[in-house]
Amino acid sequence: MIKTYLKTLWRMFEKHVTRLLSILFMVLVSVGFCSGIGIAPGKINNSLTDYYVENNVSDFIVRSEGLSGQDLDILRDCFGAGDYNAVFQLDVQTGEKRSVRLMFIDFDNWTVNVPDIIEGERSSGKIFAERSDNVIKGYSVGEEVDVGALLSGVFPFAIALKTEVGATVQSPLTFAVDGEPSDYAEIEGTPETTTATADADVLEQILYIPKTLIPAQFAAFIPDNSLYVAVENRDMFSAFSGGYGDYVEKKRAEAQTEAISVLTLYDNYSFVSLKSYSDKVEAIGFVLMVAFLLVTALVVLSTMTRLLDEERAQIACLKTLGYSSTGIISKYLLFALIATGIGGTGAYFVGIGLAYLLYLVFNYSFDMPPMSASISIWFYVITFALIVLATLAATALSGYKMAGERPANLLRPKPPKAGKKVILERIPLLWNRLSFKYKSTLRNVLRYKSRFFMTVIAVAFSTALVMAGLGLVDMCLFQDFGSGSILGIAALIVIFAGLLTAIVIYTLTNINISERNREIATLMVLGYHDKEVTGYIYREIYINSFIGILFGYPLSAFFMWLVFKTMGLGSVGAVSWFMWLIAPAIVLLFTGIVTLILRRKIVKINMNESLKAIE
Amino acid sequence: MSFLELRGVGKEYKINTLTVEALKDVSFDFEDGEFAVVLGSSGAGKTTLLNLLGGMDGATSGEIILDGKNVTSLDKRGLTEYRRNDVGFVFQFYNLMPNLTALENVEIAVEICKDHLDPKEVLTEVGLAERLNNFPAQLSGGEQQRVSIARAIAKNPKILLCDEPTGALDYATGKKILKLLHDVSKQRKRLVIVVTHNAALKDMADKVIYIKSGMIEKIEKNEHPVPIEEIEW
Repeated sequence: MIKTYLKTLWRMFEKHVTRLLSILFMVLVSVGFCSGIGIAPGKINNSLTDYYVENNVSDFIVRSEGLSGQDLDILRDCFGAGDYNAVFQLDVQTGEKRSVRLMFIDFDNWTVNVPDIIEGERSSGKIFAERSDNVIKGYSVGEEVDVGALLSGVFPFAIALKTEVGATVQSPLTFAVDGEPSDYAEIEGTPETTTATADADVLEQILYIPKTLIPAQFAAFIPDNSLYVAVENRDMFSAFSGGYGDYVEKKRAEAQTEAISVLTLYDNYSFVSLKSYSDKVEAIGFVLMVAFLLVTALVVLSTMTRLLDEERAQIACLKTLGYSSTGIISKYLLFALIATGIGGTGAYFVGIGLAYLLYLVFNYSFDMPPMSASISIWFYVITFALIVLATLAATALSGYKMAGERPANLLRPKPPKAGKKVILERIPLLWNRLSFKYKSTLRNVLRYKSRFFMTVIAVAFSTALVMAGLGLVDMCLFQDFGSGSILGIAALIVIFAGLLTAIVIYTLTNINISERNREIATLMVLGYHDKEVTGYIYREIYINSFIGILFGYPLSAFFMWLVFKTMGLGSVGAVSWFMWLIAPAIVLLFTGIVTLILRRKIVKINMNESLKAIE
Repeated sequence: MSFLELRGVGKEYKINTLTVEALKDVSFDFEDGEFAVVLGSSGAGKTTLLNLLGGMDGATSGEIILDGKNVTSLDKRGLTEYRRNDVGFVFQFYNLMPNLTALENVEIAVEICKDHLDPKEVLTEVGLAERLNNFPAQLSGGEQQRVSIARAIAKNPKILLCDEPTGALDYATGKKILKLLHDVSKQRKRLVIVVTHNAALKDMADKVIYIKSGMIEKIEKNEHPVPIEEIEW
């Protein structure tokens, strides 16, 4: 018995392979998007944490006019065991809004904020220079640097200190590529853009100079004024955890005096801006995720409902043979589980890929540390579980409802949904002007109300998703906001929203065609040409899409508002007018492509369908 | 030359490697205004013959000539034009568009025809003057079949093909529908071909084609057809 039952199972998969693929790809795209967006911030956090631990980043930077031995003792008491690097650090103005940072440090005992050497090597008597980026000019290895000249305005006497760059380096404190603010620049809240805080100078060079290069007679004038502290207990260290934030705030309050100010990682421009970006990605993802999941759930549900409708006769047959409802339905549950399961499993890899891309995109604004291998899969697990549960629940619900009917009812063909007058017909002035074709189309549109709403909602959300991405693109390209990172993120959003839209339209159109097989076959027998037959079906699809797009406009505005608010940039009103045309154009383009692809399916319908008994 | 002629018509279907000969060397002719019945049991090849006559499929061999036009030589587009202008089709399950009213169901067929009749008049003629604006779901089976017949007549076709037109109807309603089809044939001088498995209908036809295993079994001509009212089954 089981063997034959399994055969019907296999045949179902064969028969409904297009539906299987529709569900599979939809889950692939939407769960993939959600998990990618979910994985990326975690990956950034983990990578940064690894990087910070590896390079022993400073938890605290203590600044003062000069630190006495007594000061140091007090600070050691406060922060406890750890690595302490005392340095002399100075930002020298070299032009309007331009400064050079000089850091005199003991190279032999350099244990905190150890920079990675990018090029060259450490050699005695030579200095390190921060690598070049969008703002920092950088030096090449071997280039001569006149430190004395840079210091000429600082001290009332001249210091002869000419040296050579031994290596270019990357410090864990300065990995943002769009400008590091000079000393003491207050970072208020989260930076709105990646251009460094407006009031502060921007560092155009950072030089790390061995203390041994300072001529002995000047040593007294160059006292240690900064203390870089990396506390010993790194277990609690997670650059992004709330607990760490509380801890450093508490210590800061303890150590800070009138003469001594304490900076933490939360005052570090690179860290704060990367963290704010990563938080934004997470927040945007959260907003868009809801839409992705909603649309996917809706369309997967219509697909399963349609599948059950088509299996009506078979369900009835199995019932008359005495199969239990659960036995019958388990087949469809398995179908749904396999489709969503394969899609969801694939989505894991899509998610990893997307997270990887997002990570790469961050390289436009940051010299990103090596990517951490660890992955936080919570978003993936949750979104995947949600889709699977929603699909199974809905399949079970409509399945039990159908299997609960008496076999006699099931064997009788489901009466076609009755046509009725639509509201527009009450306005004869308008209705009578419509051509006959459109009358029929309009009635059809309103006949299948649930499918109509399904299509309109799905298309509206897809349009809004595409629009949200395009709005961000627009802000980056034309309004001069933000950076390549945001542009990259926006592009990825547009791509995924577009993919979802295409699959959604394909699936809904496909359902529409299979529901209307008989009508199409009849039109063919009546002598309608292929073009006229496809027109009959497609007019309806275009009208649905069009109404979806109309509803998509207010939804787009709302999404964009949310996204802009989250990103802290741009405004809905500032979005270029043509973007409002591009999003619907993309949706219509996809509709057009889908209708072209499905044209074959329509014209291949066998006219004999019209002779068959109604199933 | 007869109005409709079939000469050695054959039809083969290839299913994978299997070749099925659905029709073999079928030859007969009908005159304009005749009421003809094609009789055969299920699987005899009735549907295949209907498909060929209706221009829904092409023959593998032989010729079908309607009013001087060789149907077998038509391409896909030609066949569509043929179905559009020359054939009226009455289905067993009516096949009305559920979202169109009775009137609109007739209009959807005629609006693509060159030389059609007025839909309202035809519907009145089949007794549906009061039901013009009803949707199929609001009509009985018999009424739906009348709409289907009106749709076929209104196209003003050369032949009317009816596939088991009473198959889904009760006895009394079925008889009325057959009467209507017979009237169309006689009053409008149209060739009406009814394809059925109901042997009782043979007595009302001018000509009966018996079909069995894809071949013509015999052809009968009735000099004195019996009115449908007098036939019982």
